[in-house]
Amino acid sequence: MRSTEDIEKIVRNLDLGIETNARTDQVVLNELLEAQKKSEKQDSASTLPNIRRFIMKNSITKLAAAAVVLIAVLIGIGHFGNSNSSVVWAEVAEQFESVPFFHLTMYMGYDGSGENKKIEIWKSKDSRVRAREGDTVIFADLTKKENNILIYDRSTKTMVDNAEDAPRFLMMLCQDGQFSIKTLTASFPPGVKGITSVEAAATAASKETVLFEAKHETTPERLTIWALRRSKLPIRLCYHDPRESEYGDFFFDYSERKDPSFFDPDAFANE
Amino acid sequence: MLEDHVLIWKFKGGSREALCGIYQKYKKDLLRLATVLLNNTGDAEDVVHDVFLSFAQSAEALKLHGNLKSYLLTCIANRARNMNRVRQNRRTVGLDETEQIVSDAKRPDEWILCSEELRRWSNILARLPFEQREVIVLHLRAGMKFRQIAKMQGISVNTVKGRYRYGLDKLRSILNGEVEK
Repeated sequence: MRSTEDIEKIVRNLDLGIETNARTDQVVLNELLEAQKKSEKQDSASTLPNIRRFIMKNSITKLAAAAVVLIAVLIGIGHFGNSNSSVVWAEVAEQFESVPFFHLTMYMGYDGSGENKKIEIWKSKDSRVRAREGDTVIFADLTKKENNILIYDRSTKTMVDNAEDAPRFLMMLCQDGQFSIKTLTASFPPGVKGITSVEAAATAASKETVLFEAKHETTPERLTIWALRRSKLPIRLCYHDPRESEYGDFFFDYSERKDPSFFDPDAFANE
Repeated sequence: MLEDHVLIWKFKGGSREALCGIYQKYKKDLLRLATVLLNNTGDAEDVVHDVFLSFAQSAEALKLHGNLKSYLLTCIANRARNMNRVRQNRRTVGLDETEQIVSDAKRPDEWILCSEELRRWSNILARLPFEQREVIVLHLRAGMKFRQIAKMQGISVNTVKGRYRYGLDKLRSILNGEVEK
């Protein structure tokens, strides 16, 4: 006689083999791809003016979308800005790619609301990354391919299955082992024009920094970027959308090089 | 998990490869679940086909906060439940009295090729009422928690647990009966 526990074990561990007919598989897959294509056409036809709103409905993609908008605009500066700023921006982008380590703090949310999201990312010289988002700490070795992101609960130091947005954001911010703003542009729909460089008022700060400003072609979204004049490194990116009082404020810091153990998930788990 | 995050992200960006990747990765899990829930390979194929089709069309609207596998399995369970209702209605009005089974008979356009073990267990589980079978399969095979199942079905956790307990008792007596034979 089998007990209830036995039955549970049996059902749980059953090896229920299943195969699929390769020919039918291909037919189904073709149908799905066709449906995906049709759906895209319909979506772009019916929602073109509001494509951003579509993206922004999802809180997870909000972050990415903001970054993508921001970066796409940044890239646009290189293409459409005046000749002086174009050169400077190209240097800033190049300089950022070659920087050995950095600490990026991102704040995202809505003006006047108490709620905002904060994500911190540290990058090491050898492209290892540590990120912090809420109660999770994320480790990644971005020189390697998939499945190299480990997520830990910050207080218990045990691995967990999921984090909110940071892993996705890391994958978008860094591909092929390099942090590059260019990797994000491929996802952004075209249409960034009308970008102008900004002459900052003659202040002490403006002697040290270069200021860029960009506007989206069809929306009131605006991006302001500050870079250091001497080192040509970006220090702050500020995205703002007045329609929903939404903002993203990214601060870069290049002053503190973290110890290699800081990027070691085993060291973190055994702290 | 991360692979899924990337697949979803790419899928939402319109990637064909991501859709193919998701399909290849999860088709068997979904077909298996649908087969066991419905005990009819034709219906299972229809349900999985429909779920994938609406998933393929949902890139813009998809809001996924949990994991992809759970999401797809939940879609299968919901559609299977609807299909079961349709079947019951058909039986009630006497239009279809045929017994639903996962049979050995080959169909010309078949998609699923079931193992002997899958056929056997589909037929065994089909002897449970659908509600009990569903809870057992979702909990033990799909790894869903009672709380998740309750939320998905819009019923209380106690009801889910009750169905699970009754279902297991019945399954136990079926299997013990088989042994005694």
